[in-house]
Amino acid sequence: MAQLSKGERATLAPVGRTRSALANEVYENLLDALMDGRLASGDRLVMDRLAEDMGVSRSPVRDALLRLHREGVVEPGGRRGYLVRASSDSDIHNFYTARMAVEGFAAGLLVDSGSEVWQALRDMLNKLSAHRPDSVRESFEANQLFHRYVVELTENSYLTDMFDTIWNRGRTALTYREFAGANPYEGFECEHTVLLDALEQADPDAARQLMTAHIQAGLERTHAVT
Amino acid sequence: MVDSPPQAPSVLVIQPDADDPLDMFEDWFADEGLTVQTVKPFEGQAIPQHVQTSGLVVLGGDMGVHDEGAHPWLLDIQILLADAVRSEAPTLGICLGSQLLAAACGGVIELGSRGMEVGTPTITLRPEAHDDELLGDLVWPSIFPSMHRDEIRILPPGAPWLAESDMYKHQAFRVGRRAWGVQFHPEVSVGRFTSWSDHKEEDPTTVERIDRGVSQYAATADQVKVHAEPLARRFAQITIQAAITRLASHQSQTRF
Repeated sequence: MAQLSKGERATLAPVGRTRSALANEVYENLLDALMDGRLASGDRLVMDRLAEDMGVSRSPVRDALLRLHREGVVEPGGRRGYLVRASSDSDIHNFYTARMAVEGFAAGLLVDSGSEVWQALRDMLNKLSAHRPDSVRESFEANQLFHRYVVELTENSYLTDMFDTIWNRGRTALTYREFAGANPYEGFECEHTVLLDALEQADPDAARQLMTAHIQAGLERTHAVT
Repeated sequence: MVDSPPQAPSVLVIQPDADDPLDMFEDWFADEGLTVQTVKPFEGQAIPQHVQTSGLVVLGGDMGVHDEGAHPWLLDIQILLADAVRSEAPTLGICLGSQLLAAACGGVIELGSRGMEVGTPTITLRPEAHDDELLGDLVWPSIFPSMHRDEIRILPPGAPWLAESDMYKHQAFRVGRRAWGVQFHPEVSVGRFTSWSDHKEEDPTTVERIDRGVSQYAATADQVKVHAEPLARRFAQITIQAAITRLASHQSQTRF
């Protein structure tokens, strides 16, 4: 590691201390509270209060709130604060249909990639199923990891970026309750095993349709809890 | 290592409803040499997490898949069904049991869009199901007793769709190698089926459908048996065969 002479600024600040790392933590904190219902639509988020509660300065809180604003989760309300927006049915619908476009297309591409991809996905599924997630958040993340891996295996980073954009915003549109209703833990392994078995036998069109049907079923199950 | 003595092949039967027992299947299973262990969650008996028998049957019931608020063990049954699919234990879900199997593997269950299906509808095997291990060799089309309000609106994506009726298309499906769901009731006798009809308040159309359905079954009971018995026996044979195969592979592993 290069020595810094006096007065010279480090070009890389230590991890975890930067404003953006803190902002990210604040963002994740708020997201958790939104998804498990500690924060609900209409609740006020006041910058000073949040900074004090979380023991950070106002800058990372402001950054996190701006990001949530960009993502449509909060809207400006009152002085130095924001209100939690109600996520609409169309937000949820758009999340699932955007997933169909990217993940369905990716599944179609995988068909020509050889049999190793299916083994890789099975290994991933086994790894994720090995322990029962003890929170909806863990279950959400297991599902996200599995689906991201389908897209990663296409080795097309544009598609992976699109996946991340959709899921990051989708996380803010769904509450944990909606997510848990749509993606019951009990079904995680079975559902994806049946899907993989069928994908492995499919031609590209059929693979796209299967992945789309799988995501459509998730969308339909959100209706059962809303 | 001392081997435990080989056990008689047995099937775990989950019975969610006191009024919906194994019924006609009991004799046919016994006759094939399959022993039955019944778990009744409505009496407080716990649903096991794993299938330790050779096979699994989940019967029907008056409740719906989404009634886990009133019957929390409905989720435990789904966990057990997912375990059965994973371990490839021969599994048969009947009516509610088939809906729980579908739900456990990514399907969508809703109130039926065309109202109650009741009576002995004609069930048609789909062309792609002719080599199915359980249903392929039976006589089709066939008639089976049926009484359900909910429907499997979306099958688990990827699950082979095996049979349909005019009213509700998802009558039979398979997940994994050996887990089957049938929306109809191949196990129910005329007497039991008739007893289901004295139900509380119903709208007039449904009451009429039930009355018609009950007399339909009474009139076709002999025909139903011709179709139901081979299905039960075939499932018992598959379960026993799986037990023998498992025992053989266990012995070859321990003997060297």
